[in-house]
Amino acid sequence: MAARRSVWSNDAVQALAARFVAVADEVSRLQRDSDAECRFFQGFCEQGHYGGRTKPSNTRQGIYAVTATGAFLASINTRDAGEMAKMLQQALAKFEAMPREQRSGAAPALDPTAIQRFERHFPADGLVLRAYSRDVSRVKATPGWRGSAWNQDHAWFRRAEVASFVPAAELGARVAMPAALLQRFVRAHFVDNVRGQTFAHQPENVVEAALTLTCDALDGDNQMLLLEGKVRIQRSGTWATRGYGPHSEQQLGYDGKLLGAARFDRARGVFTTFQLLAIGERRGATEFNGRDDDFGPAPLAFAFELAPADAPPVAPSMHWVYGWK
Amino acid sequence: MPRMATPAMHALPFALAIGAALAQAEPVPVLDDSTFRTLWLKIVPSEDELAWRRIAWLGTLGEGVVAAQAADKPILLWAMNGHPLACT
Repeated sequence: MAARRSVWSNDAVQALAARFVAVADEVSRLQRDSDAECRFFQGFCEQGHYGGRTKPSNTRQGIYAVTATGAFLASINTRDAGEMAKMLQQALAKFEAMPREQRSGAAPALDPTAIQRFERHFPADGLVLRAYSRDVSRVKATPGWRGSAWNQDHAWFRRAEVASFVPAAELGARVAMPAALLQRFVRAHFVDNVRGQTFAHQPENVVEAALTLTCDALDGDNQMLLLEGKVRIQRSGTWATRGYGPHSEQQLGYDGKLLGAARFDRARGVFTTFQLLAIGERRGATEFNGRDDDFGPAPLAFAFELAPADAPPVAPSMHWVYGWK
Repeated sequence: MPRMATPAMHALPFALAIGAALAQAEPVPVLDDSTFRTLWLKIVPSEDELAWRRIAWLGTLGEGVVAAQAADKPILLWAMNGHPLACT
């Protein structure tokens, strides 16, 4: 999360990045699986900064420069813009010294359409939201990056699902998001990932959830919708709260109020604006979400807005909760 | 009905709810029509926080391989536990 701001926001790094095809992807799958995309990654990652290492962990996280033919150019794992710029320059120099046939080949090295990723379910004609999580202003400020941390994700709804929670085009018409749909939304997206990854909620952890959409105004084909709701999450069990540390009895929860507004184009059957905010109180910590010294209770917020149409399709982080096959 | 927040608005101080029953609980801000825009602007990342999006990231390595071959460019791959364009 910190790298997003420190490295990729740097002007010099951005100028160098423009000379590449920039790609972001999830490394665990690339390391572990065996489809063509993963084999492509595995073909060069061992030549990088983590190559050959298995302790203290076997991650291959980092930034890699590679040719379209899979030839390793350079790699690094840093939040320092100067170091990143130097790596990119070295990679460019190496690339430019290679013959075109060697660095790019006569045809793509793989066929991405043959790879079964969750992105194949991208609901282009549905609703795609950007999701954000952030602590609301704390009475006692947390020092460092953790005090200003935020995280992001994507929430997807298929076109038929959208149709199930848009009210009739009549002032005051109201509809509740179907329970199963709302439960999926809450399980996957009302998670405390502000400071790091965490686990999805189980169905029984969603003790209460309601989201109602009311037709508040009409303007031709456009409906203005008021969104109101609440959510209550409660989970107890035994897990660690600091990495791979000892397990102990834990309680986790979130009680929140939802409020928002959206505009729905009935002629096209799509949302053209969407803002939903949840403000509530969270409790507890999980293994990797950076709350081992911050169990709360404390205020936590979630915000959901329409993703731009030209944004790259990226699957929801907890897409397995969706159950889409 | 909450008026939609726009990026050009300035942040304003918001009203806090009465403290929770637990002595160590921190106050949760009131969310209603009057506080929605202020809270929205506090939660959604600022333009400065999103400057990294000015880079034209593709979301899958496979797409990058195809694009790089066609453009005769090198691939810059940002690989993290958790997709960098999603939750990390």
